[in-house]
Amino acid sequence: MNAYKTYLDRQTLSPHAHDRLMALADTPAKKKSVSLQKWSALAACAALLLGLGAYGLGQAGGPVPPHSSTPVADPLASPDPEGDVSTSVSSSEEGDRYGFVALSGADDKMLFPTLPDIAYPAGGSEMAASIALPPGSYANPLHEEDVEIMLWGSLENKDYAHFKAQSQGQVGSVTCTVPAALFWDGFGLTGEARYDGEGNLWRVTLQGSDGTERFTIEMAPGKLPPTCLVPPEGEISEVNGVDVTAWSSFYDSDGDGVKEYHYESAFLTGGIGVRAKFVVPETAGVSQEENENGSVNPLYDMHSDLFIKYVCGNPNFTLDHLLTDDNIPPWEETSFETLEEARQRTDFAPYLPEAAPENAGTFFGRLSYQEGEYNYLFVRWTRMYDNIEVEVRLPEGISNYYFEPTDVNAPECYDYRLYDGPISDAVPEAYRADFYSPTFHAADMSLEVVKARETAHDTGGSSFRFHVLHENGVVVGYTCDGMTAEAVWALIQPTL
Amino acid sequence: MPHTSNRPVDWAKLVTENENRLYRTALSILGSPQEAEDAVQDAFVTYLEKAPVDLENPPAWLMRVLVNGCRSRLRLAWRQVTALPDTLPAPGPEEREELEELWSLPPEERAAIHLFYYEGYSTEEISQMTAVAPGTVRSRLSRARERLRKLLSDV
Repeated sequence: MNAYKTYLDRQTLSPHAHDRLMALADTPAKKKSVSLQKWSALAACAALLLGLGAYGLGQAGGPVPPHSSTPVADPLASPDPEGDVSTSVSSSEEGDRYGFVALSGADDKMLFPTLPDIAYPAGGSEMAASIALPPGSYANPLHEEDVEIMLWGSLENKDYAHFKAQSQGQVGSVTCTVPAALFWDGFGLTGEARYDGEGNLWRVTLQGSDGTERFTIEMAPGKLPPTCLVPPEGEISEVNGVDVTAWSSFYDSDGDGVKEYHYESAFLTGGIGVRAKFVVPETAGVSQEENENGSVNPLYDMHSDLFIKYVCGNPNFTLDHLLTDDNIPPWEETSFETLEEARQRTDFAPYLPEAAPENAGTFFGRLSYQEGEYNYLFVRWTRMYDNIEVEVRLPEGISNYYFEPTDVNAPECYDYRLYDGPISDAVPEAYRADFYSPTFHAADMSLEVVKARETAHDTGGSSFRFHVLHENGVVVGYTCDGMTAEAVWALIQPTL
Repeated sequence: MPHTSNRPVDWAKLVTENENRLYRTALSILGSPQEAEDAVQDAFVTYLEKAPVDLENPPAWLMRVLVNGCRSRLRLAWRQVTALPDTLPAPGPEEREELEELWSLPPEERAAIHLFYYEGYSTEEISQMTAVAPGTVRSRLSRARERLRKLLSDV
């Protein structure tokens, strides 16, 4: 790290860039309402779209907004900050999903898409249970083309090709390759397509953030994507013939002291189940004047509305190109009825007990393997409230990198005998995260270390939890309830 | 909460004390001096426009905005590994080896390494800056310790 630090310490902002930063203080702070900035951006994009003959709306063959009879504003013109949003709608809006309203003030008239009337009643989700991934599940990252095809339908789509060619480099143009109707300019996108063990698409996740707002969109073929949350009842609104259930909540989800508006929706369109969540900080787009008047930015739900409006009933919205994947990493999920059966797996046998512990109870064992991801086998005995579990993890990919050995000469990091009371109260915060189940080098293991890990089991007797990292990278985890330290040590010693 | 001008009394002090650490962080993520300078400017502009009046820790807030800005700039490449870019200022021979090791990580993980080992932020602070759970930050750092043997051998 020293060389890295030395290198970075040499790197400094150029004098020119420094002068630009200092000059920011010379101009009055322009507290133009971000809501008006957003209207301006919408208007600029809409004007561009109209100038391109409404290409980029991703509705191949669909009705297009008027561009011959409606004035197109200069995208560079400054909007009248006193301008009001009129409720006038372009004459071709009927039957046209891309209806426009005019922002009129002074001499300017700008056009931008109407937002669907979607109700987001207040309601929070409750945690239900963890989602069980399908056996052999794996994920591929989404590439730009995957997202483009998802939203445009095809890279052969003439609207996509024309929009991409025409919009590059234009002043005020969108530079992203997603349909402009989404107004995702400035949003960084990441995503993954997750498959089951047979290469069938299970769920697609697309996330976006512009540094202020963020969204997560989950999609699945043929049904709503599984969720670990129980959604509230919500309210159903119809958008382009699709029933959309939506709800909202208002709370600080990331602990930065700023509450956010969370707009959530769930719907099925064109054989694709969608769960979408758009998160907008309270401070986004609220000017000083609006704050003093107690107003709320009317555009908080804008991106949610525009996404729903775009995909609902849109034949170009597709997951067809992701439905199957041929590059299925080898995997295995096998259960064992007896310890002897598990010990037949020779890679794992040296780390497993040779016999069941005394009075151990009912046996269960399982092997889980996926090439490049994980390769582990656990054996478990259960008796009433006591579990005795030995889990052997062979090095596969980077799965065992999480196990960082504890310094056996620093007992404050792992020795229960040094503390009174619950870990969350007694153990210093610096050690707390790893204290529940520390990892020890195999060479450091001893009966004394096992004794240091003895704690009271909440249903009586003692409990032990820790991992052992062997020199060859194998990690063995021990969860031992109702045993003595000597009995636990007897499980470990033959494996060292 | 009423918004007044966020321009602090001593703008020069805020800029001078933070410009280089923000620049170095952006450079370690983006790999281009020009992009890094733009990202730093964006962060200060965002500060003027959006920072809360009663901000307790302006440097940490600026860093968070910067990291988010870098993520937006990289888009889908945020989690993809790329080669050591030619746009980086030329490193010395020993520096190159450590930089190449760092660049074997995707930007998402490089950011965590840089913020932890160079900037000295805690995993809790990094989790807020990068919008991932603290446990995930710790896992990434733990994983990186194994992969970046040379880079972190003297830490």
